[in-house]
Amino acid sequence: MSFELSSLLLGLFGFGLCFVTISIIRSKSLFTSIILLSASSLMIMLCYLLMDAPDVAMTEAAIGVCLSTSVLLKFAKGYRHAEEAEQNSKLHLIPYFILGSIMIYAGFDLALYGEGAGSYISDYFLRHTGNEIGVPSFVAAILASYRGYDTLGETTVIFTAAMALSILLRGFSSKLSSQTSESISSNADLGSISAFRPEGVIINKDALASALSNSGSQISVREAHRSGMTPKGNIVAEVMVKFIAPFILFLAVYIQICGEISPGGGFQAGAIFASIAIGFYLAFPHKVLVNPVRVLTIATSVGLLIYASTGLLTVFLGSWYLDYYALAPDPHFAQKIGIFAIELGVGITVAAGMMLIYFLFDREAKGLQ
Amino acid sequence: MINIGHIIYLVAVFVFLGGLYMTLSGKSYIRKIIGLGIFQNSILIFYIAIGKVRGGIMPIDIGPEHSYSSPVPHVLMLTAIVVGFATLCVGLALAIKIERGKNAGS
Repeated sequence: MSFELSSLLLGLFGFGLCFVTISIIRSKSLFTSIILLSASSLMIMLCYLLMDAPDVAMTEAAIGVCLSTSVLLKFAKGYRHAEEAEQNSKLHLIPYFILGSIMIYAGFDLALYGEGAGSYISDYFLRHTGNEIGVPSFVAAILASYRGYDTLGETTVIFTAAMALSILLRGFSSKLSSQTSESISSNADLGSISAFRPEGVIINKDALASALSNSGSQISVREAHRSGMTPKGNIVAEVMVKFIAPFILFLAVYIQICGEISPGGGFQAGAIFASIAIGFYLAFPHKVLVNPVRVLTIATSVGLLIYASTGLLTVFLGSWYLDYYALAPDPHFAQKIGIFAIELGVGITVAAGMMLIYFLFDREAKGLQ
Repeated sequence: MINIGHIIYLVAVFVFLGGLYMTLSGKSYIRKIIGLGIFQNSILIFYIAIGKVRGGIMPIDIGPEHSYSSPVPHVLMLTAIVVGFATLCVGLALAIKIERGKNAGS
């Protein structure tokens, strides 16, 4: 695509982005603003593609458009908020105009669009990546090898966020689900089970009530309702998620492994892998799902451990932390091994972290209904 | 010379101000958090825009005769997106706890 055409399309999408931003600010309902936020992320993703950033576009598509929208919608389900009050005077917009004019005035010193403010650092990377790293994708080489220590920090941030959420949102002490699952498993006689199906056991509501009262549990049927045990589901969502899940899995594994020779890597692959689990949570709300918090916490930690252990391994082999040249005699092969190992760690952490975050918001939304 | 691609800088400033306005004068926590997300998006657009090279292609190495767009901003903004999502989730969880504390206290 020629530069003029891409600039023109960029201008159009930028204008659309401004329009969507104004709509978000002026929207009165929460649902509208979340969907418009997703639309703005979509436009931004197209802008990234026009600005030659396919890695960033993939990450924005997976995380900005899909994951953050689903998390925000799950949050909004259980959130009761007051309506926005109408602003009376426009005087409070004056500081923003002043700030905007200062920023535009400072922007006159910027390089023109397309002249590339990369200067010597990107020249260094473009010239020396082929010799030193031997990996086609400059972004993967910089992310995983030249600035691998930064990426370790970012992975730790995702891990910390997932752990913070599991502490904040009743991750480990959910009395409701453990009690109901215990009572069901101990008192499930054949009268209370109305159908056996390959995807799970559909439990009859009245028999559920009798089973619960027989077991002497204090939880009413309404609370069992809330934990997601009613037999309802959307047939279109069920069929589509089951059909498309293997392809998404294949795509996630492909992006994870081929992140070195094409746009991709651990972050995108982890987000796409997490979307499979989110699809299942969305399509099958009536299934009695096991509590995956423990497994996902372990998986998140294992991913970060793989990343940090690669660095420790290079220290044990005699070099400094995260120096991949110590891993194998051939330098390019050693870099490929190191990049593959840490991308695996990043992918596992991001996937497990995103799944954990969504699961916690999902259970929170069900608990608040 | 000035071309129409410069509009992306103005767009970045506009989205920056829009996100800042939502964050500072949003009436509920979720509005502030959405404003923060918009605000972060504007910074990412700006950084990726200053890395673009006229006549360059995407930074995957296919030969020394091509000119590539600068890969350094892509790397930095890639992690910024993921970290932004993580902080968004933590912000939402904190908003849930605050609301629950308000309901329990009153």
